[in-house]
Amino acid sequence: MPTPFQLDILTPEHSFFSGKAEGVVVITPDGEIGVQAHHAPLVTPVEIGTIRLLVDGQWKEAFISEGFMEVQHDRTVIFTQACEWPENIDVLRAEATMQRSQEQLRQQLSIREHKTSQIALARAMARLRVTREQNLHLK
Amino acid sequence: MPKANEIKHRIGAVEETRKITNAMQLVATARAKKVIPKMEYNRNFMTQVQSVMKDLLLSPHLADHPYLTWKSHQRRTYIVISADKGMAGSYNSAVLNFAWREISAKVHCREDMHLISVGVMGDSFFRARGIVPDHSFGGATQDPSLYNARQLALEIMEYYDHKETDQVFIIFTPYQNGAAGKPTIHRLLPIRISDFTDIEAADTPHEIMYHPAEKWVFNLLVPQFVVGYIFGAMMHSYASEHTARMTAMQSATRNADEMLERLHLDYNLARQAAVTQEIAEISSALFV
Repeated sequence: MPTPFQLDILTPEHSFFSGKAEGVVVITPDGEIGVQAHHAPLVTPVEIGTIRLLVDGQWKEAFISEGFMEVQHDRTVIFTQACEWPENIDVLRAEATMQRSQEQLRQQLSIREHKTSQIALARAMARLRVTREQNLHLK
Repeated sequence: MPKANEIKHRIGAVEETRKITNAMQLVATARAKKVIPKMEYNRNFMTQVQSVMKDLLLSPHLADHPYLTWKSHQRRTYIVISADKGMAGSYNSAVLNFAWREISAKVHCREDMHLISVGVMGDSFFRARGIVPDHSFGGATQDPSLYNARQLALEIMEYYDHKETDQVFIIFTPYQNGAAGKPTIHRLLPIRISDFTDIEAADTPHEIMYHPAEKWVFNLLVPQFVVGYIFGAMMHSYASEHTARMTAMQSATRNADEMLERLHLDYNLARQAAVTQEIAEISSALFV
């Protein structure tokens, strides 16, 4: 079993995870990065998508919004705008957001509105993906 | 001496008002309590973000980054957080007058300034003084959510990125020791390393790898920092507003209680006087 290390996942609203983990996999602009204990110090952006944590030998998945990962010698901190376990995701809301932002993207909007809709769409899709994967595991 | 039923009418009115102030006090207490635990998480988040930022600022590759450079031309953007309604003691007037003093001291030309008002009170305050806010977020103070903070952050990052402004300040009321503190001003952009003197950096900043590159990381970190700071300021203001309202309503309720006591006394006196007068009239009529 891999050595556990201190992992903290923080959002401006709450502390999503704080404790020992054996591994964590996030999506960065260059693809997925996995971190285990004694990883070299690293700072990298985290993209909207799924985060996987290995806690007590069990892989867990959660939704993560855009943010950062800071790997230090003895601990790893991930800051993000939002992070949710699949069971806490409001599927109906995510679906509604997805449809609304797709609709907005079809219209001719200002660059800023376009960007906002794009991010909203990516978040909604990532949320839905996490819940769908969770349902597959249960079946 | 007013008539007894006039006083009775007045007692009824004061009792109604007292009910309202009492209810407002309870609502304000509940709201303040809801947001205060969240502030701790935000503080934690901000300390961590600032520590990553400090590590980054120590690296030499960022020296001329637009988020760090100080320009000679100083067009300022002010974000002023006030409340959507009054009845909160001196909360609104304190923060708005502070903002007004700051703005009139530093800004000489309206074109050089962007003003973003969060809260309806701020909006009407500046309009009454002939400054129409460039952007007004009414209703955002009722709900200090990340979504609102993000909208506001997008707005100012866009001003800054398009070089429409050189400095961004936020004016809000911090929540200190269980009460609304003194209004403060904080510079959001550009960022200076001196802002982080009390933040601990990593032991070995030169060992940290930045992936894909320092600049990339920094470009993404700054918006996170700005959103986090605005969100924190909104929560502080929200907690301050509701504590201020709580105290104001508490004293209003107490005043109403005192007033009722006095009115009840007056009422009894007036009633007694009327009865005495009636007896006097009847008994004097007997001897005629």
